[in-house]
Amino acid sequence: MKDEGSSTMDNACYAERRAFLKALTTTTAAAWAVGACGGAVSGLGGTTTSTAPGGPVTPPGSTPTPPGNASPVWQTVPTISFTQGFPASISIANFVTDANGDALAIALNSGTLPPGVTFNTSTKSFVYDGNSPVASTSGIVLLANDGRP
Amino acid sequence: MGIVTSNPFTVGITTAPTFSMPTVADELATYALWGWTPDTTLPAPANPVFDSAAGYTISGPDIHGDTEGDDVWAYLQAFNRRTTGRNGYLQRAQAWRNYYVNSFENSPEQGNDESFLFDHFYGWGLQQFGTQFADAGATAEALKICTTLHDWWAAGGRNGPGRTWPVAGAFDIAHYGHRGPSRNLHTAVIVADATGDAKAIELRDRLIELWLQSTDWDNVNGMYWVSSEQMGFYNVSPPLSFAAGDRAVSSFHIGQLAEAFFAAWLSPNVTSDRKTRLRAKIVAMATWMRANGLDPNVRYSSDELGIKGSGGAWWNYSLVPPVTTWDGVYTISIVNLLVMAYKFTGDTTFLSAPPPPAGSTTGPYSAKYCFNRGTKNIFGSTTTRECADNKFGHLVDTKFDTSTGSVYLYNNKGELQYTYLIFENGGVPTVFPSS
Repeated sequence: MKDEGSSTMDNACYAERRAFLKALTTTTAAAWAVGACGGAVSGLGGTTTSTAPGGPVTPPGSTPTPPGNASPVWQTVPTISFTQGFPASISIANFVTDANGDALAIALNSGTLPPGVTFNTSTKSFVYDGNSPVASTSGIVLLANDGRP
Repeated sequence: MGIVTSNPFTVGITTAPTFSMPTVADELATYALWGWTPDTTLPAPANPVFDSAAGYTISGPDIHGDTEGDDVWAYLQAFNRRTTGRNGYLQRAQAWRNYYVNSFENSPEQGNDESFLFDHFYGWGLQQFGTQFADAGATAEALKICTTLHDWWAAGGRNGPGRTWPVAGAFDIAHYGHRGPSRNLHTAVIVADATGDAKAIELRDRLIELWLQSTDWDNVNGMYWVSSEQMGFYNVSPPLSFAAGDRAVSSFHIGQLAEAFFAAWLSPNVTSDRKTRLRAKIVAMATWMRANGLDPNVRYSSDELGIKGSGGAWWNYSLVPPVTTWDGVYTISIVNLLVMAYKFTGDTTFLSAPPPPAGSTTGPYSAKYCFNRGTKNIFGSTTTRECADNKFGHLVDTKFDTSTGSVYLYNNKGELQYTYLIFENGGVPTVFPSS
């Protein structure tokens, strides 16, 4: 794929991204990779395991629903990149779920959005006016509230 | 407690969308994010030291019969994804570069593929090799390939020679399948951006419009179907019938088309209007594949699939029961397509929705699910897997195809070309909102 040069935003979030990756790759995957260095490349296909086609893909870790209220659960919110000159919006509602089915209020918890970008709590969307110049802010955090104690 | 905060993330405004090939570290981070751990019972190294491809040369390859991806691109990207232990990948890329630069023009392989409407012509990897290493020979050959394609299309394409360009809006570009016109577009996009060549630019823009206005686009289902004639070549008609409304598409052809459209969408030289329309086509195709890309019982995609005029979808391996064998490799073909749709919409069901329960007749089949199913398939089997769902047995560019002397990457000439987008930012691809 075409390898574009780094944008201003790419540079701004580079350190954050590398830190995120470093934290992840210091776990078992990276350790195994190092241990496996020098092995053969071809001739695979030996060991196999049967699994049901519909078997779980999402790894364990989701919180079981307790007898009472279950807290909202976020999926990892990605970098959101608007394009200068093009007004646009994106809903983040599907990045958070509630096992009880409670209606969730979502609000900006911390961080200052770039000029021209707002967060609409009614539509749970980031909205870009299309006019504001190139800018980037890292460390944006949202808060989901199910309205229960 | 009913109040929970998200992870910290970035919101930005850029002059144009950008993308960089995810690294091996990104791939490993993605598996860690998913909770996948290495299957240590398997012999595959996750990130092998591959510093020598001694003896690897390319001479008289069966370009039409054997290749199914741009091998210069694949090995160059495998090289770029690493910082150490990678020179063997570069040597393989160079071997293919040398073949194209020194032997391809006027070769029997070139002539043979011309008789198949240039459907295995690759030039984008060669151009990227030329750009990356300031290799004038590679750039010159990429331009020759692109010029050949331009002149062929300008003389009528499959209806020529002696005619003029097909007319957008009155031409079914996927008539004989998608991969040829997809690869032609992909080459034109990359060569045009790198060289500014007038013929490359014309080819790019005309092919984009031929695709966007193609008469074989099904606006109800959101898919380009092949012709009745091509359905016959697929050996599915009978029992299927084009006249009865049955339609067909090849899953990996759609993977190739998605790559070409995405390259055009990323190009700084494609108009914003065309980018908007390309994006809409990608989302529409992904929407159909999310619902129908996999056989609901076997949970693999197939070489060919489509719709029935009477309703529902079909997959060629389960078209005539009993289902005893399957080639699950095609399941990987739609991973990048689904990730693209996620990047354009922020709809997480494209990226990582849980699979539908047993008994369901449709998806959602997310990119993550398709990746998990496809990369662990065992050729021929409907049930045996390389490893468990929460394990990984290889990286997308560490397994070579032993059935062809390990000349090519494994699984339809490489999983990398169909899946790399899912590793962006360690499994958290950037989203580009649209209006």
